[in-house]
Amino acid sequence: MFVCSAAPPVQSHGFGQRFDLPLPLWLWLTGAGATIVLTFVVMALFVKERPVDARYPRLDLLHFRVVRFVANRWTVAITRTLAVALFVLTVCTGLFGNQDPYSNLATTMIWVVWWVGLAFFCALIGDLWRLVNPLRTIYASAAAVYAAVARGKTLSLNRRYPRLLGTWPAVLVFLGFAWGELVWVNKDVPRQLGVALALYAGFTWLGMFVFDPEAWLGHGEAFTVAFGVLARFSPTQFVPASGDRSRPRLDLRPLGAGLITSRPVSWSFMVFVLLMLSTVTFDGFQETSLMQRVDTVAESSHALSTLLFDMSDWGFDETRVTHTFVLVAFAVAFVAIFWFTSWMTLRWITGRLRRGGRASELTASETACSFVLTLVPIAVAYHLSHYCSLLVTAGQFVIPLASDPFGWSWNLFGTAGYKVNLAVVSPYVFWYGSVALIVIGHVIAVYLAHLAALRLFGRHALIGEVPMLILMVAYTTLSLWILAQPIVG
Amino acid sequence: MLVCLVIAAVAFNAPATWAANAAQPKHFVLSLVNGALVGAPDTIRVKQGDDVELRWTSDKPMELHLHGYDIEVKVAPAAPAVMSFSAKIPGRFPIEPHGQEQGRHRAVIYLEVLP
Repeated sequence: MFVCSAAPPVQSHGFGQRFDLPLPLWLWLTGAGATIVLTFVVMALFVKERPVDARYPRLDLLHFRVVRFVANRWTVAITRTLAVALFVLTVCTGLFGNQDPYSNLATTMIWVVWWVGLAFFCALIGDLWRLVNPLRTIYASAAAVYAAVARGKTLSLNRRYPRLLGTWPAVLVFLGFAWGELVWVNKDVPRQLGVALALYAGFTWLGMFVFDPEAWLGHGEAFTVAFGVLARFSPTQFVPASGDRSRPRLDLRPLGAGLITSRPVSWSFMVFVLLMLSTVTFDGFQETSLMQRVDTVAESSHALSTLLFDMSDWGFDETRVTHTFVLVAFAVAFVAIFWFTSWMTLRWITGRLRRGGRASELTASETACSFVLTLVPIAVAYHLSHYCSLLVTAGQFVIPLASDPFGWSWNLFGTAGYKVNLAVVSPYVFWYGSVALIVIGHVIAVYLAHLAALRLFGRHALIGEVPMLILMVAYTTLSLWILAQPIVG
Repeated sequence: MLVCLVIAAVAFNAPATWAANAAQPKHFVLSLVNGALVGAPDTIRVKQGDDVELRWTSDKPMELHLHGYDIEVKVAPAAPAVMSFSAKIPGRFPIEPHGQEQGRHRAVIYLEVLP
């Protein structure tokens, strides 16, 4: 099998480049068609049935001795220590190691193993980040040492986290992170990554110091929130021991069940979820020729080009400015379109609810915040399809990097000469797998939307959910369309 | 009548598809003028397993890099270059000139190796 060199020339560009072939036309049209047909099929199934209970079956895995044996305190401690070690190693290799992106552990660790690999794990298995977050472990260790030394005092000002602040800090951080991932030209420069990591760690620890640490993590730490959203889709949930329950539970549950809520989520959380969805979609859209056309139009428009020219004096590249603008535009568009759909849903349903004698006190806010999580399965499916090949090819870089993380010609485990195999996954697997995943994600989303509609609208659920279903079909079709576009730029 | 047309269309296409199943040598001549391709499409498509030869001519000295296969050639006005390889890896690979800044869409042409 043909292999590609693991250490291309020094002026390397395009770390994380994907060589995926676009979906064939017939395949993506079939996928879109299947999406529409299955939406009707699922709705038809609901017409005949009695209202479905929103409770879902759970199986406590910790019931089984094998699981208790494997998932004991020592395994957790070792995993956390390993995560801290990897974090410190990543910062060090970024700051001090070889600055070629392919020879430095930092680039692969952050953009492939952590952001893609951990996202896969959290979406498909469970919330691993909650468990191993190195920033949390380091802070907790420092707090324990402080408590031992300073006779029981806590390492935190423990200011009450203001409810109004919600998850807005996480929204801002995540927007910045998305910009860094999708638009920033220096995202592959190890030293800049090392600095960014160190700064973010400092910022997080500051938040944990000022407020209650767990409150900050749950509201302000963008990645705890982001991986948490993905993990709601996953089939496992860890429920810690609390007052009336002496033992923690590790529940096995149906895929997507964690996205069912009994109450609407907060406004800032809704915006966070929509931001996540919009950045995932923009990630793919950015590589299409349509985006290239937007770039060309921006450069050729007189008004814009004068503005861009002025900005280039300040060191901003024209395409980067355009892409930043479109990234933000996507986020705003997602919130606006979703809000509009919720408003339409309400207009659609209010008449019926009143005629049925049900007083309707629902607001567009409540509707939006009740339905937003149901879109997550579509985004998860698209994200998995978009990144699977990267995980499989660029993920192989871990093998030579394990022997030489700093790029200083070490060979700790003898694998430094390993050459990445780009032909490891057949395009057919990628094509059929992607379409299957996205259609399945869509069906799960439709089902979840039905459950949300039942909770809000009672027996008018089927009618009430129509605007949302139209939105879902459009979103799924957009995802498929993006996968069918040849990658440019 | 319509049925006959359909059968005729399939019959004319069939030999071409059958021939393409075996590994074929595929030669392309690509001319660069001022860093851009002339008279060639955006994308070259070959089948996995084909023996591919890309002959480059340019009016300016340039370095071209085929990503994925990691093949680099230098082409100059007096010295045309050839990229010769077996298309074993399926995918969509850009051929980019070296020396341009980050962030600009700068592929000269794309090579698609279909499975």
